[in-house]
Amino acid sequence: MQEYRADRAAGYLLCVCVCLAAGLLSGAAYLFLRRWAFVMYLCIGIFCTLAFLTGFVLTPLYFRSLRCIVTPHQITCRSGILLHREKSVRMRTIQYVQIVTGPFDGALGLNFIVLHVYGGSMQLFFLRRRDRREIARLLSQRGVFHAS
Amino acid sequence: MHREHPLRIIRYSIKNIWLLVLPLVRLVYSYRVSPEALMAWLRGAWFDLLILLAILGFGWLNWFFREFTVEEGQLFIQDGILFTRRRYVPGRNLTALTIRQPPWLRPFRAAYLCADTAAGLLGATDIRLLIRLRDAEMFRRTLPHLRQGKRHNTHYKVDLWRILLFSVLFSSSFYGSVYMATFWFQGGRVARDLIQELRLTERLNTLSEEVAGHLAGIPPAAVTVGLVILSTWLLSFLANLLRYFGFFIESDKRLMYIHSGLFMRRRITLRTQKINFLDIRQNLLMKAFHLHTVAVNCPGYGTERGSIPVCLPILTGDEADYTVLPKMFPGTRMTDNTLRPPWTSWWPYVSLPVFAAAALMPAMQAAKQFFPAVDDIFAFLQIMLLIPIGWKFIIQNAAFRTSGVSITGGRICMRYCRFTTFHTILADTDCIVKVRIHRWFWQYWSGKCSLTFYLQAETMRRFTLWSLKYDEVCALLGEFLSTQTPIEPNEETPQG
Repeated sequence: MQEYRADRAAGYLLCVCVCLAAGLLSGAAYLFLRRWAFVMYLCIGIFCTLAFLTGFVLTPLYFRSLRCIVTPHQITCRSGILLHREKSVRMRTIQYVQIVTGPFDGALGLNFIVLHVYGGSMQLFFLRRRDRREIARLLSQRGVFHAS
Repeated sequence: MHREHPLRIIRYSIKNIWLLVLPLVRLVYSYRVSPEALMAWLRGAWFDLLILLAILGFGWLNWFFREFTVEEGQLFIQDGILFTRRRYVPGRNLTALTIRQPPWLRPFRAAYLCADTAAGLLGATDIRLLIRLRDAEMFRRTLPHLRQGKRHNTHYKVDLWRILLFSVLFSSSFYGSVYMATFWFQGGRVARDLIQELRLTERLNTLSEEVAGHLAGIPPAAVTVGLVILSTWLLSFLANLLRYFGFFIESDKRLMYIHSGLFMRRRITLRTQKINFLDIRQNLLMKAFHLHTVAVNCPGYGTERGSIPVCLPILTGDEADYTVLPKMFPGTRMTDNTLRPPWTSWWPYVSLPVFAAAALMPAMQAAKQFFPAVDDIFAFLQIMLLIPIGWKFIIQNAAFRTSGVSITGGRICMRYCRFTTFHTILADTDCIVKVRIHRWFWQYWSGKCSLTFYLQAETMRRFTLWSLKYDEVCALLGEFLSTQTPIEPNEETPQG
């Protein structure tokens, strides 16, 4: 049994993106809502609070909860902050595999594996580059597909 | 590695290609045969042209980075510029491979390829590529699971009169309206201009008045509605005729090839082992004349809008029982019902149309009282509504006589009626994923129940039989369940 956790680099990247988005929105609020100071400060406050909550509280918690367990016969994905969700698929039910790699061969933790099975699909999010290769190798060994 | 057909670049850029129109219109408007005029045009349009080049360049990049190949019995597709997506589809999991060639792709020797597996939730196509025709053969050649065998080779070509009959029987105004709505919404401004240009509304009104003049007593509004329904039905009929024209099916032990279509040519390869169940459909007229239409449930087949996953369009009774159907699907046989609704279940079957008819008459009388100015429309509407209700009453009687189920030798044969279509479902009992017995509180006294079978399919498929005797259902299912081994998901033996 192998356990894989989400790449923290992707968490930091998300945090930076959220902060950038909040900064841009606050800048836009400063530019366009300067006449209504109260509304402008309210908007900037809301954007900053949301960015703080999302970037520094929810994202780290989510990344801490995200894990993937691979056994010889099935793959299980666990996630969730308040509500924990566990999703399992059996290797033999996988119909096809989709591997998504981010820029720089997924160096920033932007590696995703989507397993398409009967009746739906299961996503493995924010894997390390090493883990993505290892899971692909395990799937290939189990005969799910031929990794090239 | 292969790339898609270069026409795909246009498809990738099509959302923004309309920007091309602006500089072109300007060129056409101010075109003079002189270098000065051309330079003047370039000075005015250089920025538009740069944007256009950027759009086309982005489309080219998308096309360039989208590659596919077939190796080691597996379809591999890679696409994406910044984010790379790699898809690995093992040939053994492919259920259907469709090659569609619309007329506008023929001069370019291009075709659409749709590859499907049993995965997914909404019946969407898994892989869709715009390929060169010469690459289409590569799929069949290099995927061992899509290569034809030698044993059990049967073929069946459908005559033109059968296609005509099938198109008549399975055309509906609903699907005609869907095609019309598609034209209306996707055509946008062009469609509206066309309708305005051809003065369709005025012509329809004139025609309605003329027809109403000949048919005394029928108001023009009712004639207009009738003409609209008739024209949408004709549209659906035409679409069916074009889709199933030249229908030809060939089958061996593992595969089924279907060719059809007059303008849009379709070549479909189905894996016989991946067919979940057969669905033999009949409407009341077909039932009266012992005609059958055989459809199959196979992921990836019949997913186009308004299409039926048809396999044998029109079969006579003998062909369905003895000649064509058993040859095409060996081991498949329509057996007599061992469990069917008792005679006391007649009323639950016919109650709905009876209540509908009983409610319609006072409602229409009341409407005539409240709106006396248009009472002729209500009188006409009453007759027009009573016809389908009466038709449904006859259908429900036939459904009562024919509904039922039998489970013999590991195969299930189930007959039921949904709306106006009679279905006979033939499947292996391994395909049953759930059985539900449902009883309303009053059914505890009458000793009856409803029985629903959920069958294995890409999207959830369930079939309900109404008002069966509870004891008989328990006896049948008890016997069936006691002889069953636990159901495992599909796992077939690898085929050379």
